Amino acid sequence: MIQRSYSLPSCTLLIDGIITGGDVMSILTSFSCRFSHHTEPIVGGLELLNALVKVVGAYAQALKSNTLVAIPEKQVRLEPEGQHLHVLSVLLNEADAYNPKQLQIKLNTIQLFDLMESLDRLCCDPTTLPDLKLVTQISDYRSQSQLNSQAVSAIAGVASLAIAATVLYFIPIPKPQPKPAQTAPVQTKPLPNVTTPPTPVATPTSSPTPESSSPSPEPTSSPESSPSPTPSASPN
Amino acid sequence: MQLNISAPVNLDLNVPKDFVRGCPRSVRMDIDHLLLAIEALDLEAVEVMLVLIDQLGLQKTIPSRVAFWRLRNTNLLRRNYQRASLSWDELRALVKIVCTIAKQVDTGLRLLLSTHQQMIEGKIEALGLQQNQGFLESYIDRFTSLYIGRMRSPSPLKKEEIRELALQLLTRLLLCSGVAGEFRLWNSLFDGAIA
Repeated sequence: MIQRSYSLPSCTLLIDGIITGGDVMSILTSFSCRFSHHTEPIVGGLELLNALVKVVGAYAQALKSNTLVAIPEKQVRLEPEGQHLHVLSVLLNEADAYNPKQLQIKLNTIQLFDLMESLDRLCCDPTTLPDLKLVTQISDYRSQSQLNSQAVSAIAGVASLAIAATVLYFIPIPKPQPKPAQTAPVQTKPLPNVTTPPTPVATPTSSPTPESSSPSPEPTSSPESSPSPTPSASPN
Repeated sequence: MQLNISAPVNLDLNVPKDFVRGCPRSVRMDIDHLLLAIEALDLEAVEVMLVLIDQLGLQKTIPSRVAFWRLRNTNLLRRNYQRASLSWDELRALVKIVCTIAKQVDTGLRLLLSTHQQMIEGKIEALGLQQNQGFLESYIDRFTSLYIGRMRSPSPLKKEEIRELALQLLTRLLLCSGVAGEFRLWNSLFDGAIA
């Protein structure tokens, strides 16, 4: 029964275990991880240690390459809070169903590094728990979280399009209004060319339509203006 | 779900399978930025790096000062970018240099990072650590002037973005300073890189 310790400025990891052959401690009895800024240590067995190695390793790796990862592990969670803090939540005493305890520790970047480093030293130590391996590959976790975020944006895009479409559906389609200003030049143009009497007939037929649709002052002006050229055109 | 755990007893820096076409651009940029941050921490660092090339037995890969300069100019944002790429051995050598120096400047990195934390929390005045804040600011200033001097002009980043990059590189350097630093840095370079 021996104890090995990995200590860094803000975090100390103590490993209790049994030496089986030579100098190699291959059976873990318990471990404890204590932070200098938090009184309560993380205490647990092999399962918790494995989860901790996996979550912290992948999280630190993702932090370095500036990507976010979602690691599916229920006992240990590590999430960013704001830009420079990381919240480590550990579920202690999972085996003891009557007395489960959730431990939450806020870590800044340096404390997170110390935690990662103590676990890395343990993983790289060939004489302590040689089965424990370093976690550096995060492609699996990252692809999951990226897929989620991509799906969210795609769904949001489709949903916003649908909402916009339904809202715009209720807006009445504007009816094309015949513009009286345009009718006036149309009437005046052909008139000088054609000297035959049918043109004066055409002007009264077109002028009633703007009057019926909108009794604006413009239609009144157009009949006034349109007759004036017609008399002048017809004598010529 | 199966545990995604690699088997790094000897911690070999293996080239990922997908990258058969050579060293990706983003990797070349990243490694050069890390070297630049080290230089901003200590302006004498280039001399240290050249000594380290001898000590780490990397003369074969980087035979001279000019060869080292050429390797750093494979960053495509550099003013003297020659469209050259890095070989895997050259990249391994640069990773080794970065991590070895990061281990040596670990204390300084911790000081600067904790000062940054205190600045965010607004504790500098209360703790009377204005001097540390000065150290951090002068690191950022040195990094900014090195960045503007070495990279192509007009600068690819704005002043504010260079400052952000300088701070981010401090965290990255700290994370490379551990026992498995080389391995972690090597893997992080390829995360999100395009083959």
